Amino acid sequence: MRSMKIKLGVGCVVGAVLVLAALATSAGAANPVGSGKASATKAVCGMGTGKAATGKPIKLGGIDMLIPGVDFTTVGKFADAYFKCVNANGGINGRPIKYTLYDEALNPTQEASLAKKLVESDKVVGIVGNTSFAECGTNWKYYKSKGFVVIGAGVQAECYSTPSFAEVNMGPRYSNIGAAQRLVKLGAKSLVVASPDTISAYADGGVAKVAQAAGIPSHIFPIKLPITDANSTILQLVQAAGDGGGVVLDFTPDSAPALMQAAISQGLVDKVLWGSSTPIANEFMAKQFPQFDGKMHINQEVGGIGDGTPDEVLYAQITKKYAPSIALQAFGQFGYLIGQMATKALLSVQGPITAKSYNNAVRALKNAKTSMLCKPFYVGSVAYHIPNNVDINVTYKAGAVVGETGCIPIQPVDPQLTQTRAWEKKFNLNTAK
Amino acid sequence: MLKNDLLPASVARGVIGRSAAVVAFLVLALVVFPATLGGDWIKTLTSVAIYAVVAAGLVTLYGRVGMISLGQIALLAIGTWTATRLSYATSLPFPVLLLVTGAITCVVGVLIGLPALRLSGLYLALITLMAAGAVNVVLTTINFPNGGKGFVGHTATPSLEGLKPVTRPGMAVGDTAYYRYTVVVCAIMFLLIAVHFATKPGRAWASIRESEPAALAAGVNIIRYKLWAFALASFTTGVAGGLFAAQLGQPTAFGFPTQDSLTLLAAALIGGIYSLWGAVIAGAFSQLAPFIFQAQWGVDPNFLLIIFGVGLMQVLLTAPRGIVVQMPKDILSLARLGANLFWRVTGRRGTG
Amino acid sequence: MVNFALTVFGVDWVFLKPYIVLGLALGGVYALSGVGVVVLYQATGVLNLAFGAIGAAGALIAYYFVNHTSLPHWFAYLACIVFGAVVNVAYGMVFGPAFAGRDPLVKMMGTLALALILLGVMAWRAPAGGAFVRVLQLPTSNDRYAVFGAVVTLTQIIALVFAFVLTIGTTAFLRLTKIGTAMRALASDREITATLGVPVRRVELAAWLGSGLVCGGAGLLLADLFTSLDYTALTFLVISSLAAALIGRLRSLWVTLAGGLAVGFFQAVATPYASITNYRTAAPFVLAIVALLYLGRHRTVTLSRTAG
Repeated sequence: MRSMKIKLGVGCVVGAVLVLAALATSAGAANPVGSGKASATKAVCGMGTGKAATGKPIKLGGIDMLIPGVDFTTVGKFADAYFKCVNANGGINGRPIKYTLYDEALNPTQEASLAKKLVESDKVVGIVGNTSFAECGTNWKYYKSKGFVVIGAGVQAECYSTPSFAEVNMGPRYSNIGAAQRLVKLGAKSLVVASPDTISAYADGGVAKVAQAAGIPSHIFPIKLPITDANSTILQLVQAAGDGGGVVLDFTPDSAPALMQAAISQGLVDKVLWGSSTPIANEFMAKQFPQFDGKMHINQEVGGIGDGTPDEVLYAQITKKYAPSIALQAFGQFGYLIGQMATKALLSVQGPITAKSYNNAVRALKNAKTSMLCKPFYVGSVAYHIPNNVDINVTYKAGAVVGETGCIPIQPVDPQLTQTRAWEKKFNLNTAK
Repeated sequence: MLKNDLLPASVARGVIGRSAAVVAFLVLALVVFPATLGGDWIKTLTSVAIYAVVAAGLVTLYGRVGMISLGQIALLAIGTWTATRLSYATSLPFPVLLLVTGAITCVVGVLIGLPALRLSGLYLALITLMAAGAVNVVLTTINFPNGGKGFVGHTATPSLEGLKPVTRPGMAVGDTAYYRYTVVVCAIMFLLIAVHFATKPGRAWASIRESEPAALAAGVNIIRYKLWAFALASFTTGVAGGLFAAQLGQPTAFGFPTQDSLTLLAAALIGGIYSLWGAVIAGAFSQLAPFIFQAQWGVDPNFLLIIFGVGLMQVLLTAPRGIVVQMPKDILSLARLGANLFWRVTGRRGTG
Repeated sequence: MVNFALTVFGVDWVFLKPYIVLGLALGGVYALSGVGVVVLYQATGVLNLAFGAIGAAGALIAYYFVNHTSLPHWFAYLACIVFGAVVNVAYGMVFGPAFAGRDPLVKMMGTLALALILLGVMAWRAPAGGAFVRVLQLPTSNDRYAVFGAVVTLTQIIALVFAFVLTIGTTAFLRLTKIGTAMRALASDREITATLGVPVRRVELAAWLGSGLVCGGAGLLLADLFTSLDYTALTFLVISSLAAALIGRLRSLWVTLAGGLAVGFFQAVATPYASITNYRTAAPFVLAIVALLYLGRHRTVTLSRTAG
């Protein structure tokens, strides 16, 4: 009798486990990440079929900078995660995307030779995900000669002033302008901006123009990295701003902590208004520097990570399933947007997918909506691309990053911005509702 | 003069042998590589040639004269900067541009070398490292020229559509053609250095390296020959800088960090600091290795650092004359070992 | 309170004051590394280019203990210092004899090999994050003191005091103890010292040990003073610290200390002067060049290849 009871008991347990397992897998199978029908409240990966793509792979490639202290490969790695999601959801009409990511050590020879390798040896149909301090400048002419338009995340001038790049972010120049115009709105009596000296000439010029338009003085400070004398540097910035002035910092989380810690140590946090470009808008920095709660006004080029909008939700899901080791951050969001736009371009190609047809599709991209950006993304056949030029401001609060303002257009102090907005109207690049 | 009668046969054979090796190598570089390798390899090999010339400067200064200069990368940066500035400011034909760049870099190198002549050994090495650090700070602050006005020639808002990169010579605009052009110019630089080694300056330098007091006593003008060595190393590095500027098109200060001077010295030690062939290996090691590891084999670039460190340690301890001497020795011993094994196995020689 | 209405080369004294304090605090860092390097060089003839890398690796280990285990913080700091000593002594034991008779340049390149290996291992095992940095804050950084219009943390004061104590202590040690005298003899002439029956290897290892402890301690202090644990910056900070060592001509500890302070002072004080502020990071290099050229103005002739 007892053995019968035991057998029955074991049978019940095994059965329960099997049922639960079936439910779990079927639940997973019923709602794999990124599948379903795209709507105003749901974002999907590519075609959203939930079935793996098994056809002939479509080759894409990218080059990201990786130097000690600055790792941009996160952008490309997340684009790859997005492509994995697309491949698990029917790919591009049944064909999976194969993405090759090279890293370069800020070496121009390497940048040029890797571009050639991708186009001529690896024979990719498109290049996406490029992020570097120098690669735009090194390769824009080569990409132009081959008819390639690169969707990536930019830093330097050539990423926003040549036809070869259409970036999902706005880069430090415009992000700094956004931070500066916010500080002016908050009543700053002068403007000071500090960037790494390697990008300062391009990144800081706009802030001077904002100050000019507001009739207040401005100072630009190119800072040599790595920062060895943060105390002197921060004192210099605050002295130049004067009481009630505004200081815009333009550094990544590798360098910003030294300056912010110095400001705290020297008791300077309440002496001036603080602003910053996007890179320090993340939870880690918010937790590390509660002294800056509500006082650091960050211009953020992409949407808020936890804001619950469809693409942010999908972004978090893709992270969990395909890139669990990448923390939620702006670089990941850039990678998501890059993957999203490249996929849209691929899906819009009629006929065989070649380098020519794909890049033509990229150039034809317009009104590409995403909840991660204030306005739809576009490329267009124009002389240069600044598609992301409207964004939000955020600040730290209780260890998190919270929104401060809604979508605000970047002040058109640059003729390129005015021209870009004229093109947007003329060609209906992002005007569809 | 009975020149031929005075020339021993073995020396003649040595010269012919070495020339044959050089010719064979040039054929490999100019003909075989472009025919078989892709555009990305060619771009990297162009940099290999350029850095080989820079390493040759190190071989001249340390291998021949016994002076260590850790400022070679700084001189390369100065050469690149000068060529870029001249390219925007003038329309000199490319060979003239190279010569002028070499001359200006030569003057700068001698000016740096002049006060440093009183120092020797470690002090000289370190003061040149300090000079390289200072040059790096200046260059990152004033940036590289990009079509702007003034001495510095850098503008924050370059007009990109109208921006002409450093112009390549008319006959060598494409990458493969420019690669061949670069190899030829670098070979000429190597020839220039080799000629110096074989004639009076080379002998004077060797005597200075052996013992300065003895050289002094023998009537060698030490200051003049040391400056001559600096001038030669700076000139060739300046020309390499000019080639580098046109290779890159739009150079920036990123390419010349101070620590590269140390790693180039490490590469030269590994390659062989007493031989010009060692300089070629050094150029290959510093430029080709990262490319092969990352792009071709997909290895984490940090492993390359570790391998570099281990290779350097190994060379310092067991093969101070570098790969260029060690590898033929190793290959020869391996061949002998193989031959002995073969004969032992087939029982053709000796007792089994 | 007397107020100085003074302008120094166009900058108000009020604005200039705090930089003097900050400069001395910065100089303490340079002085500390410089003295550590010179002590080892004097005793073993090795110029340790891996000084920064070893300190950075030790700081990373301390960071790991603080943030990923529940061991007490003092244990983590101790681990860093011990790590510095262990790596230095191991290197001295294994490679010291191998490099013993070689050119000082070759000895220096050996330590460069060690630095490259350490840097590669650190970058591989503790890659730089995109959204976060490693922060190692010593508890002494919470104590702050206002001096002359600037604020100095206890850690900076400790670094400065440590540099002085190290110099005084080492000078006394070298002069008054048996091992110290043996080290000085070694620095003067290795061959003769060996024939006199001094246990050369043991004395050298003692020098490596002492230098290693300083290395680990400096690594902790520097990681705190730089806020973010940037091991590449820490590794190559040694180039700036060499400037202090060069000002002391790799010989005099007191001049090295003064040199380090001078370098920090000039670098900080140059900050408010708009025309030179962008070049102030060249201060260590410029000062070293000037000092070497001035102090070495009497011509020297190399007599032997192995002399330093």
